[in-house]
This record gives sequence, structure tokens and C-alpha cells, in this order.
Amino acid sequence: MPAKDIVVYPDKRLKEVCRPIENIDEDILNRARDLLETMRFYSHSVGIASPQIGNLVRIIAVDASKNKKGLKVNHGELIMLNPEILDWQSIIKTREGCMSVPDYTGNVNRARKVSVKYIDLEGNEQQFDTEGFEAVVLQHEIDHLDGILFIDRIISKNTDLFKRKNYR
Amino acid sequence: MKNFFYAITVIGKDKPGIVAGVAEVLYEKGFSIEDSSSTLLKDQFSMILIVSVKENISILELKKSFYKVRTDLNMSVSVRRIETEELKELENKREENLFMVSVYGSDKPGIVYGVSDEFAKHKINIVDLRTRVTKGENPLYVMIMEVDAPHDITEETLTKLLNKTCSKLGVDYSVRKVETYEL
Repeated sequence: MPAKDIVVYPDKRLKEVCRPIENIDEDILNRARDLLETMRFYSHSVGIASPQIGNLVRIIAVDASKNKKGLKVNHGELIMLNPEILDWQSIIKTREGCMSVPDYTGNVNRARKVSVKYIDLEGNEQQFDTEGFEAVVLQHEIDHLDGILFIDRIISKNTDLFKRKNYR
Repeated sequence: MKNFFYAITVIGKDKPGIVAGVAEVLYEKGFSIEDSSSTLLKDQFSMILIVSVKENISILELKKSFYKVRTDLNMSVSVRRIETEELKELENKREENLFMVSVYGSDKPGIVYGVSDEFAKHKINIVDLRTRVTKGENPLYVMIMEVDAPHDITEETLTKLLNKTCSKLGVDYSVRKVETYEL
């Protein structure tokens, strides 16, 4: 199966909230397979969300082990249906780029540790905790399912330094 | 089609309407804002812009078009042409090796000079720099930088380098590698 073309902003599909999956039927399995194939095709891609190939359903594929930053903590290649962040801890600043927003990177605040749950392709509910690179990838991809791009989360550089305020 | 590029800086006492005033002139003249950064330094609002336009406009004419902004808003405006060769260099840039560096301590002369001079000697390029000094009896000086270092420089070697310079200056420092995640 060939890899799908990546939907690029300003395509409106990237700003839509995707519908949850209720039945894992042939159609959903095909869409999941397309997503996985597309992530495998782009050798640098460690995560992809369904709307990035034009499917407005809640499926993401991730593989943090493809990048050396994710080697220490990762759960390998995953297809996740209806992924959800249950809990998070502490914040890290990352600089992110996205296949759907080429030639642009920005500073984003993300949780360092997250607990996620999802449905696997067999319909079983799964849950795990992760941190660092894989946690960032998951947050970035789950955001796509809600029409949120990393641009929506950029923090201004100037606020990195203290604002001049009189506390007296 | 070939575009013509200019660098514009605008600075003056802060008040509402500066960005709108400058943007209006650029819009009316058919300019695109390619890259820009604006911020408040003390009470001075400062804009730096790289703009492009389809037709070749003389520096004098461009300066004249800002007459209203200069007089009504009491801003100083400077304009410089950017040659095509300079832009080509920008396109051929190598992959970056970025670090965030914070240097801070009691205010004293020579912090910016000491650190930047050491960086220059090691071909470490400062790509973003902000400094601020607090008010009060013992002012605190803070310098936050993003630097692009040659590829053989690691977080460890950069830390060693800063340790030497900052001990001499009697200030604290920290280094963080900037990781870009292409997702």
C-alpha cells in the first residue's frame, strides 16, 4: 500500500475536531493501515495523526524509537484509536516542527510525563505512562485530532525573560 | 520574478499605533513583511523588519513614505537595501547546533563583552540575545542568548568554555541544548 500525501496547512481539515471511533470495522482498519504505512514511508516521521492524511477520525500512529532522542523511553510502533491523556506531570519546553506546517518551528510548552489510554486494533483498552520525547510526540499528535497545531501553543520568546512589573 | 529586499528599523517612545502606522505604509506601497521582530526596550518601542517588494524603490523614496510615521508618532526610521548576494548566503545555511545560554549575576561592566568575545573566538554565533537589568540596591543582570555553535561543540564543551569566562566575571550561567522535534 503506498503512502498517502501529507495534508499541508492552510488545508481546513487540519483545524477540524475528529470523530471518535465506535466500531473497528474494515474502513477503520484500512485508515489505520494507511496511517502506519505513511509514517513508515517518511523515514524521519515519529508520529502522524489521521487528519494529516485527510481522515477526520481519532487515530494516531507513533514510533518514538525511530529517533535517537526517543531511544531511552519508548513503547515502539503503536497504532492508537481514541487516544486520551489521562494525567500529566511537569513541563518542558520543546521546539517543534510539523510535516503539515513545513519550514516553521516554534517553542512550545509540553508536559514532561503523561499517562495515556487508547484502544488498540483488536479493540482492547490499553494504558501506559511515558516521558520525554515520546510524551511530546503523543501530545503533538493527539492535538491534531482536536484541530490544534503547534502554532496554537507557541509561547513568545520575550516572556522567557521576566516581564517588567512592579510588585510593590 | 525578482524581488527587492530592504531592512527597516523603527524606534521611538512607545504609544499605541506604531505597528499600524508602519504596516500601513508598507501595505500601501505593496511591500511584504518577510521577517520581523518588535519589542519594548524600557519605554522605546523598537521594530526591525526585512521587507520585500516587486519594484526597485530608492532608499530616499522609501524613507519619504515614512514621513507621516516619523512626524506624527515621533519615531526614527532607518532603511537599508539588502543585496541579493547576502540573501543567497542565508539560503545555503548549514544545519544548526543550537543552545540556550543564560548568564546572570550582580550588575557590573563587561558581562556582555566578556561572554560574546569568548563566543566570537570560538566561532559561536549569537542568533538571539536579550539582556535586562533589575532596579534596586543590588541590580541583577540577566543575559539570555540563543547561539548556533560549530558542530564539534557539545553541551559539555560549551559549559567548560562558559565556566572559564563566567568565573572570571563572577557571574552564574547555564546551558541547555535546543532540540527541535520534527513531528
